[in-house]
Amino acid sequence: MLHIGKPTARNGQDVTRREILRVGGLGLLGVTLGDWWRSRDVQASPSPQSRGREPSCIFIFLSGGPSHLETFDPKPNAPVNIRGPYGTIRTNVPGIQIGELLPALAQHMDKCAILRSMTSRDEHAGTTMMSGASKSAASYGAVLTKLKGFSPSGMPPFAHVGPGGYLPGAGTLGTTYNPVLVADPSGKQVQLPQFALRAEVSANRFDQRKELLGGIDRVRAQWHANEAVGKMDTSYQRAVDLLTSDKVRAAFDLAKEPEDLRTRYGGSTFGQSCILARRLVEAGTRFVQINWYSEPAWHGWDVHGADLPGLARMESPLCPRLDQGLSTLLEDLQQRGLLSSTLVVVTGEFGRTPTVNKYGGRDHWPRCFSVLFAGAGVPAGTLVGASDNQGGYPANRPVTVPEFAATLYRLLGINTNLDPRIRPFIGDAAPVAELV
Amino acid sequence: MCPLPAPCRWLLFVVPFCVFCGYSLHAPAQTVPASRLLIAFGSYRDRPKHPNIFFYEHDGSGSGKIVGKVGTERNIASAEGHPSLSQDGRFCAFTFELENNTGRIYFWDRKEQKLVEHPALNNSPNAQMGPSLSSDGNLIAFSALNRPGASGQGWHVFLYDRGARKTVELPGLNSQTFEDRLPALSSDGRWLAFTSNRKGGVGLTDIYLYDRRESKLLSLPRMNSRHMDAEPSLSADGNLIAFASDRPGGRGGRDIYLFDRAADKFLALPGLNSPAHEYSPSLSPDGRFLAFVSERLGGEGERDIYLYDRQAQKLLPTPGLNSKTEDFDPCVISTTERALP
Repeated sequence: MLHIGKPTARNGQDVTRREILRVGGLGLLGVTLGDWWRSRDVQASPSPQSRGREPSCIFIFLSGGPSHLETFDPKPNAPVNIRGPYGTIRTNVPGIQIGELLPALAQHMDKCAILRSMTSRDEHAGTTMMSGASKSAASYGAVLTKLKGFSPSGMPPFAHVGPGGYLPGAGTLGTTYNPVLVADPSGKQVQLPQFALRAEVSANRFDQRKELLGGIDRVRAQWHANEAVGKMDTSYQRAVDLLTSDKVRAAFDLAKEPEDLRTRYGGSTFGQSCILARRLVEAGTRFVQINWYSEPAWHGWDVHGADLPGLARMESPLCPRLDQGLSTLLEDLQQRGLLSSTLVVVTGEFGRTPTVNKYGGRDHWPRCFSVLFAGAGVPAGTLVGASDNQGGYPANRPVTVPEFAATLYRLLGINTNLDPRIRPFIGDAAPVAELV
Repeated sequence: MCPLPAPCRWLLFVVPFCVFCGYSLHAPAQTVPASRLLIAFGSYRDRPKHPNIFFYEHDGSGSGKIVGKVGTERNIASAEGHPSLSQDGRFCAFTFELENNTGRIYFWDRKEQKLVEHPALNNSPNAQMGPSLSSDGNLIAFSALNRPGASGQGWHVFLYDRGARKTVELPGLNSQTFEDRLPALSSDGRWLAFTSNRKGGVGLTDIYLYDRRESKLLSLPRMNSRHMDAEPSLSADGNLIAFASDRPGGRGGRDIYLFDRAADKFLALPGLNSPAHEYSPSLSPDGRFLAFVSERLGGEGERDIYLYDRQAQKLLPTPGLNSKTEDFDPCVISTTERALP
């Protein structure tokens, strides 16, 4: 296995074909880059959105299941055991209010649509909302790669930022469609596409990034000097070129961002994941899924109150980090002219119980929860559907998971009415008309 | 040529020596005694999913080290947070929760290295958290959810007297239909600041101050804003209040503010806040030092603890305090005594 920072080869000539093949083997399920590139050769087809910029997606998954009552669907008039300890604030869209723990996002509601009547039946698995509950268990990014092929940008079409956890990759579509992984963009455990960074690199995050990028340069020089590379077939060579291309290298290099902008996104892993996602879609990656990391605070947004009491984690650090990272992302996309072609989706596995439990927290609740959309033509400044006065069940316009999936695919350029290839992934579900 | 005759020349050595000794014995005391700080805080450094309480000693200038931790079991799934120290640094109250059990207030004796039980303190089937100690460690203010005997549902503030082994009445403090939490007790136990979302405040979430001597609630309209103001921390006399707020006009995100009640104005904290989030302030009883959490770039981990000297108006180095994981919920005390337990 080739590692950045500590190459296993003692000299360039010792790099074997097996090792180079296995460079591509650090994806979610061991995809090799050669297979991936061969698939690219087979599947490549002009994107139906070849006119203008192809729509892309930043899918923010709040692992653990965020409370909709503390975020996008507060109930200020409910009894105290439902309302919770936090208030409700106005946004810059008259008539839309959200939780007071998201004050920065409240000033960007004119870019967003909130779906408040999302409903699911799955109380535990994260794969449902990230795969549309299809039997393939393939995430949206994998499906889009299969259907739309690879873009001419040369960027990986599907990237995953954050820990993999139990989240789906390509499912039954095959490892070819797995995302490239970036475990931690902040530099503590950076895993650039299919490269593993040794743990022995400097603890300082900036030094880690320098080490990482320097390592890529060393590998590139090593490979290009290696006779074995020259003997490989085209696919493998192209895989090597992809991973060591200046464009890919630059896209993953957060040091190219101004310090003040990186600061505005927030110094947390989530904040830096957001800015990395922006860079990736800007460079041509079609689908970036950000997984809110589960470490260390007991499964992220899973605020049962069974680790530390109450909803304290919502107050610090969960909502502040989301607020800062997401609001800056929306603003940054808009200022760069990318928001109209970039769909931003924010959701978790499910919502949380309307009634606060004895630990002061809330438990899993899939029956009604919220999803935030922004960009890519989504009608901004709107509410879609509503929950009842306790946030327990949809009061109107319930949206199922397949309908959510159909909406997402439609917004990303798949003709969900006419394209038969989408049927295995959404069944007969139709997109939410109010969002497309 | 020495002016003294030979038999007297020994005086050239003895006299200065005597003068020196006299000076040493009778020299005035150092005008600015060095501060010694003790910071209790939560950290995931030992266990990725289960935080524990650690203690850090700082010289008030630029040196410090970890000096211990709460000695609870490490082979169980439990979480600790919200530590609060007595003025002598001997006692530490904190939130303890065994996984899938309700939160409890625990009391650690740093000198004896043992937990001190208070059955009446935790006499509730529901969650309790966020203790704040008086300087002598006798009074513990804390938040409790649906505690038996409370005036209404939800979170409310309570006060426990360790010596009397019972809760102390706080007439007029808690609301009935809203929630009151995150209490901070002044050193003498007279003043109790807390966060509440009750109606009638300046904003949705405001800080209130309760005078136990007068049994009177103060609303602090010049301090609170229309935005979220929370996590109060008091100076020893209750005059200074440090807190976190997301009001506009700060450096960005949440910022730390310091309010002087007697002067009825905010005190500047140059160089403390950043465009990142700052929160969980802890004011030393003498009001000089502020420990707080920040998520700024360049830190060691996701959350780091910083120490600010109001006298020097700058952040102080804190070598060894932060880890690569998350460090949070600081509580800082200062003393001029030579040793802390």
